[in-house]
Formats: sequence, C-alpha cells, structure tokens
Amino acid sequence: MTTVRIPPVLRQATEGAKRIELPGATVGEVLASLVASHPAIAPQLLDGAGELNRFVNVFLNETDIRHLKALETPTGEQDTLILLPAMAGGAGDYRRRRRRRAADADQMPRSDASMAPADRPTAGSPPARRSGSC
Amino acid sequence: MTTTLVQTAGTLVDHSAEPPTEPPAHSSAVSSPATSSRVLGLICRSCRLEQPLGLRYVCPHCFGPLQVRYDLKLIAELVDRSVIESRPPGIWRYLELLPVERVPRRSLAVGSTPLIAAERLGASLGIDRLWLKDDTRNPSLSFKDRAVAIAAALAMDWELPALACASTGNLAAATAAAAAGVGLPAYVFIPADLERAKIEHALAYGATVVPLDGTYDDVNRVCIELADETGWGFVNINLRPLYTEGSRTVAFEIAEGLGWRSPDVVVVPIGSGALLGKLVQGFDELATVGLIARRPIRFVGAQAAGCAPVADAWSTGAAEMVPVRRPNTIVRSLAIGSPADGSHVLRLVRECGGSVEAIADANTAAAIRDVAALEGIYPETAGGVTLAAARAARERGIIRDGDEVVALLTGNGLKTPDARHVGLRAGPGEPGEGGLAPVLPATFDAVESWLEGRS
Repeated sequence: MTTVRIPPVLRQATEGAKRIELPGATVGEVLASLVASHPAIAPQLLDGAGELNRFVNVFLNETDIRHLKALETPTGEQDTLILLPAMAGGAGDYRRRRRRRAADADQMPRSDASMAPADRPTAGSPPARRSGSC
Repeated sequence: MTTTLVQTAGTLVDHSAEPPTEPPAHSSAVSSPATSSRVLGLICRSCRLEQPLGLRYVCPHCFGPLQVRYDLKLIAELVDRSVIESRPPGIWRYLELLPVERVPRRSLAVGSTPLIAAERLGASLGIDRLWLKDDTRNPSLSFKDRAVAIAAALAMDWELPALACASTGNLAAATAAAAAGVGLPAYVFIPADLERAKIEHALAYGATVVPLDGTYDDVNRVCIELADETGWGFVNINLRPLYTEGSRTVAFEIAEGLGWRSPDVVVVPIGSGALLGKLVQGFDELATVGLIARRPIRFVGAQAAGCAPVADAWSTGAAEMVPVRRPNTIVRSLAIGSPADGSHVLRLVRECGGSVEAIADANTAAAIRDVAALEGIYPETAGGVTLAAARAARERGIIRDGDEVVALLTGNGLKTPDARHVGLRAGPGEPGEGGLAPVLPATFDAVESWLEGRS
C-alpha cells in the first residue's frame, strides 16, 4: 500500500482524510485506486480526457513525478505520494481546455456534492478569452 | 437566467451572477467587511469559477490558478491621470487598481522608482531608446517589495498571525522588511545554498530564516503544505493571487513615466513568470480604463541558461515547458525549475511576438558590469540576465530599429556581490581585472608609482 497525502482543497472529497493508504504498483495505479475509492475527487484530479489535471503536481517521496517516469513510476510499501496544486501554470493549452470544458459542460454537476456551499460555482459563464495588450 | 457579458480587461465576465457574500475561506482571520465594489473577488483563470477574496489560491473546482477580478468600468470612472498625478509617490497612488480597500495605515515606501534614459548602455546594445526601470532602490532593494506591500496590507486587514514565504532570496528580504514594518512575525523558507548576503538581509529585519536542504522547488513544495496547515499568510502561496497584483505597479509606473503611454518592448526576467504576466495584464488594464492608448507591446523574457524551462520551450516550439530538476546558475533569484506561471507566460510571449532568451552566466556577469559601468546602476544577477536578453533580442530582431525599450532592473547588485566576477580572472577581493588595486604602502610615492606603472 502507498500512502497518499491529500491537500485541504481535496479533502472534501475524502471525508476530511489527510492520508489514505491505497494499492497500486505505479503512481498511475495508486491514483486510479484513489479515484475508485473516492469518486468525488475525480473532477479535480482528472481532466475531461481522464488524464491527470495539469494543475495538479504529484510528488513521490518529495520528487516531482515529472522528473521520474510520470504515472508509470513504480510505487512500493514505504512510498508516499503528495498531491499539491501547481498554484498557477495557467493557460498553455488554454484553448484546448476551453473546447473540452464547453463539451463537458452538460455533465458538469452544478451542485457538486463535493463542494461546500461557499465553494459552489457562482458563475456559469464559459471560460472567456483573455487578450493581453500585446 | 439571462446572461449579460461585459467586456472588462479583455476578459468576458458574467455579471449576471455576482460573487457570493459569504466571508472568505478562513473567515475567522478576516475582520474586514465586504470587499470594495471595484474589487469583485477572485476568479479561476481556467474555468472562470468565482470566489470571494481570502486566503485561497486554488480553484476548488478545477485546481486552476486564481486571479483578482476588478470592475474596470467602475475604476475607469474613479481615476484619471490628474487624480493619480496629484498623489504622493509610491504604489498607493494607483490605489483604485490594487486589491486593497484603502491606503494601509502602515507600509514601507515602495515604488515610484526612477525610469532612467540609458543612452550609453543603449548605444552599446544598438538600442536607440532604452529605459531602465530601476527597482534596485526599493526598500529591500528589489521589486518584490511591491507585491509584498499588498500581502502585508491584507495580512493586517485580515489579522493574520504571521507573514511567510518560499524565497529565492529577494522575496525573503521583502517579506521580512514588510513584516517588520507592520509588526508581524516573518518566517522565510529558502534553499540552504542561497547567497549569504540575502540570508543576512532577511535576518537583519528580524525574520526567522529556515534553510531547507533542497532546491527552490523543494522549498516551494514544503511551503505549499505548510501554508495549508499553518494559516500563516504565505505571500507567494496562499496570498499569491493578491500579492502578484502588486507587480502591476511596475507597468503603471512605466506608463506614467513615459507620459501615459506604453513602450514598444519590455524586457523582463522570468523566475516564476508572474512578473511578466502581471506586466502584460497591467498595461492591458491601463488601456481598458483609458489611462493609455492600447498599443501592441512585445515582451522579451529573460532566463539563465542553467535554468531556462520557459526559454527552452519557446525556442523549441514546445507546447509545454519541461521542468528543470537541478538548476545550475549564478542567477539564484531566477533558479526556479518549475515556474508556476511558466506555461502562462510562454503563451503570452508567443502571442505578442516577443521572445524568451536563455543567457549564459558569463554573459550575465558581463551585463552586470556594463550596466554598472555605463549607467551607474548596480543590478543583481537578474538585472544582468535581463540586459543580456535585451542584447540577444536585438540581435534576433525582436527589438527593431527605433524601438522604445524598457528593461527591468529588479534587484540590487549588493545582494549578489560575487556575481560580477564570473568570467574575470580576478575573483572577489582579489586585485586585478575587476579594478581592485593591490594593497599599497600608505605613501604618496607608492601610489604615484603604481599609477605610473598602470598607464
């Protein structure tokens, strides 16, 4: 079993749990176990294509998995996975995201049970174009 | 529900659904009443979910980054050039464009730094009209004072228990100084191998400095977890969406300094990328509220070759940057292997026809010497990278004949005193090429004979 540390912004989906022990031979399998056992975490952890959300950074024992074998990185008994927000990192593939979000809009729960009332979406507006001054 | 889309700051914002009136996430820490009407709250840069202001930095829906949402129509009614020009120097002269209610009761004297016509340096670079924005002379000797001033003001309003940061050096001193100014404890987390001068600088203000055995990205990772668990105001983590807004004052001051217009090119160092992104946003907002005419600006980003994830992606045409695991450069202030805003600024630079230049350390050191010797301003390593990038962008044709160029000197050379020696035969404190004479007898004859032997 691998220990997964859950950041506060995801804990509503884990009933407040900070650490969860999960099976899996790779980082990808452990995260799949997490989604299977806590389905409410899926919208935040995964993007519309079922891949790891680009705003989530995953660390295996303090090392960014992008420096290892990403989701294919093997995991063992003593390992800890840390999920953290990338904090920014914005809009490199912004247009692609926008199209996907628009396509997903109908499936996106508006009163997602995983969100506290204060955290509910307040604007149903689609992602908007941001034009810089340049 | 009918939806009214109003164009503000180039962003389509849905005004049919106003932000909720609940207090921010850590409501116990917030004593201030509702935000002023010109600051509407926070909005996710990715999915546009709106949030009230508070100690939050991640969209709870999609994990995307948050940014401040302003009512720029209202702000356009509240300010004009004469209102701003009638105010005292400092960043608060742009109050209406900042995410604070009022000028804070206490703050350091941040901003209104000189915009210097750099004719000699410009001539050496082949740039006809070169201006240097001299942020080496902010209170803690870097541009970070601008951002931290916002964080400190909000920390007071929200009665936060402490200010903290993950720092490559400049932010350490800025956070420590601002915390001292408002009487808050400061906790500064740094990579253990940071320049000694930067550590001493933060310690001098009374901060608790915590060196961690790792890179800046390691420090940042630990601080993200600490920010969530301590409730401290980590200026560049849980206060990040608000803190970074302070960097826009560089754009405001450049525009005002040029007589309320924008330059053709802005050359800016990229660490996390937030500064470049906020300059783009700042000039854009000035145009939206009618303070300047909207003109295209090319942005040139500057990174050190030993840690150049954004420059590498720009030059290879890659859609995403590849994080750098082990930065290897004298430019410690930009040694961020996984820049938070890297992908964002990569897109901005591509859209505006700019470039991101990767600069070898020897060229950085040479540029530091040039700026100091030709203009009398002593920049730290990030300033050297920036001027070397201006030279590279000129050679690449991004900077063209006749362009008006503003290059940012974001920090003071006293923070990185050894850097200028890179590429010279004489090291720090050694006589020789760096201009230092050997120790001479304290007699007129000895000095005279040394001077004669020199010529």
